[in-house]
Amino acid sequence: MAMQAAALPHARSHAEEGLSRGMAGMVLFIASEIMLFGGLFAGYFFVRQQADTWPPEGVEHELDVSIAAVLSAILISSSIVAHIGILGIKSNRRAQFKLGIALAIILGTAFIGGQIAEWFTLMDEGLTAGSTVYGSTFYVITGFHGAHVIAGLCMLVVVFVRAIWNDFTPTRHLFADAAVLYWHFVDVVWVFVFTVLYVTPKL
Amino acid sequence: MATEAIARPAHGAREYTGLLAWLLTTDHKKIGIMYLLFTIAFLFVGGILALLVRLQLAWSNTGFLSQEEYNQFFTMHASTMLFLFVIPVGAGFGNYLLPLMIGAKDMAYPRINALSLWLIPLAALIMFSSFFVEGGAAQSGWTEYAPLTDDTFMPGKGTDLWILGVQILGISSVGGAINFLVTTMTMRAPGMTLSRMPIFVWMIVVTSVLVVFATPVLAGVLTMLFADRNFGTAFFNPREGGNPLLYQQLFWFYSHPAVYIMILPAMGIVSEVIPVFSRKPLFGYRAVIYAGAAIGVLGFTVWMHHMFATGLSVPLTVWTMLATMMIAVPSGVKMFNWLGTMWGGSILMRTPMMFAVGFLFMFLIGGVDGVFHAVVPIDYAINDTYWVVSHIHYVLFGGSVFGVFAGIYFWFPKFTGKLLDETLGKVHFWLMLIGMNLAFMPMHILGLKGMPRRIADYQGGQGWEEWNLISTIGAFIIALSMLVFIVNFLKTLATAPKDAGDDPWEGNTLEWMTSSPPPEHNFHELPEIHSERPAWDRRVARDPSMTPTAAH
Repeated sequence: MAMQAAALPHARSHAEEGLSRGMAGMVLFIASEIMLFGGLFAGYFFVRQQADTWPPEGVEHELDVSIAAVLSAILISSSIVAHIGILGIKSNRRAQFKLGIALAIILGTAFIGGQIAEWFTLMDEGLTAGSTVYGSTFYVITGFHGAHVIAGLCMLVVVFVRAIWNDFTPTRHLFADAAVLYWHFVDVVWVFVFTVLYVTPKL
Repeated sequence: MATEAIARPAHGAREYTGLLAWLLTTDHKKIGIMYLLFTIAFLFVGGILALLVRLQLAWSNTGFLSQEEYNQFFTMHASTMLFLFVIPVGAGFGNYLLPLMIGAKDMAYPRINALSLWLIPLAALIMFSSFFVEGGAAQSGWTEYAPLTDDTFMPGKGTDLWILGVQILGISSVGGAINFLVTTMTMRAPGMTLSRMPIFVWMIVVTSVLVVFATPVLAGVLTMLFADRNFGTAFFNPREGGNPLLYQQLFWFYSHPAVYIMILPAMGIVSEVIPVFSRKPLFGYRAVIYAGAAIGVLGFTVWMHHMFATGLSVPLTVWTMLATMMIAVPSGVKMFNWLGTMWGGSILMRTPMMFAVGFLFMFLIGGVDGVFHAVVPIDYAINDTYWVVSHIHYVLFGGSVFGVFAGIYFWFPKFTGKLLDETLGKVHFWLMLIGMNLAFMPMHILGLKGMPRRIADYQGGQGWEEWNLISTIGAFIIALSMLVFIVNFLKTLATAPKDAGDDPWEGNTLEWMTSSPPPEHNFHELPEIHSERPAWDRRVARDPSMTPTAAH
């Protein structure tokens, strides 16, 4: 009967080429995360455009661009070394892979440390989440971003542990790819946070 | 015929039996059935809350509920129906049917799928537990508008628990949506091209895109609300530079696409049922897909029509009005696709078909209502009256719930191997149809007579009492119809013979080409797929006396 010819194993269903199943999920997840930050930024612009000045009257404090610029440099370099790490596993240079991921974790942790230090300094100086909507948007947006950095760090730690176990091969390293893609996304969001929250009020 | 089973992958999972086989399953069919059982149970919970609301309003000064109780019940009625019933029920059908319809073995991420399921009862537990905290459950309507939900006006923890529950449901939805999209992208059987996918699959795809892009914005705005209530932020506090309209903007950016999240799966179900019982291919397969996609895209541009009365700028108002009216066009296209499918068909009026036809009529009324209050001057007059309540119930009850029951009667034999009783099914249908029109049609008149929505009581002598009483009677007739359904469901499960066979309705799509219920890996062997109606193709091939009808 004709149907016998079609009794193919499921594993050979088409559309296997192109984006793999795991990466497709990560890309869609990042798309939903972009909308999350999009909503937060939309809220930021909504309250900012109705304010006479930004920061609004009564908020003496200004965010320190130089510290944030250092944090940006740290986070961007961590993205670069993570990418170098991925290039390493692709061409079976395992030491480069492990070193790249480890450096990315260290730099990411440094970023979070810097961010927390900045939060404490600002709060000491009197800028809190209740200091008008200026403080609210700052802490919620940077807080959300920080939480995403921590989530990304957790993924990178898993990648690193599995790298030590030699779990990845040049052809099979989907989780590492997905985690590093997420890491780049977190990095790109920071570029927006830095530009919009820190730089544009000075212009 | 060679029926040798394809060897299942040895993933080392233990085989569980009994209750554990359900609690620990990652099988999309078991997960789909649990989705449906949970959500239908929430339909009944939400329904009981609706009956309490209708009892309170049956005539003026009933004194049946206090204002606080009334506010909690109508808020939780809507929240239950929207977040715990109508949104996840679409994912329930999708879970069971989508992998079968595209010839896949399971969903792309079975464990994330199980997580999406179990987050739903967790969220329900959190939301319903709020009835028992100090201050009671959320009271500000399902929209939870700031500044009503400010901690000064709503100091109780009910609102916070509500936010928590809805956030968890959002995670569940996004997980499910990503799963549906990746499954459809990567797991289709050989021959199942995009242009051969069943309409139901297409509608789940469009719905999932809406979920992925809209739900995170709700997560953002509810986080702001939570922070305003608990951490002293000032997003919606005008004294500190915030703005309550920001809440409405972000909330409706999610919640308008969400109404399409609620209706598109039902449209998908109806698009599967009508061709089968008309014995014709769907009229305009591509037009239905394009119309569904157009609804999805336009749905992202019209959220401000919920905010006409807040004083938007004129260009925004005019754009939103025109775009809203434009959505009637793809909806109308679908309507004609369904009518064109029935036109000249040999129509079999079995229970699923009756619910599908009921959907057409009721959704039409709801849709025409919608065009009315898209017109700004009319909206000013009927904004926040019972007209709006009437509209959403014609769309969501007349539309989504009729679609859901069409789907339940249609696929029940696939789920269980047993056919639900036809007579009881028809009694259910007629009671539900009569009940809903008695319950919701008078709300149009109440709205035009100026009765505001969300009021716990009203004075007599305004011409509102008769219509409210009729509406309450209608609500109880709907409840009666649900009892008939429960009887039918339990009786069929307990006593009916397992004789439905693989394909009791002469269906079109792949799920009818495997056993009822299907084996764990869905298909012993995949049939050849040459069109969007593989089951029909096989029947024609086996019985040459059947005249093949052109597929398009």
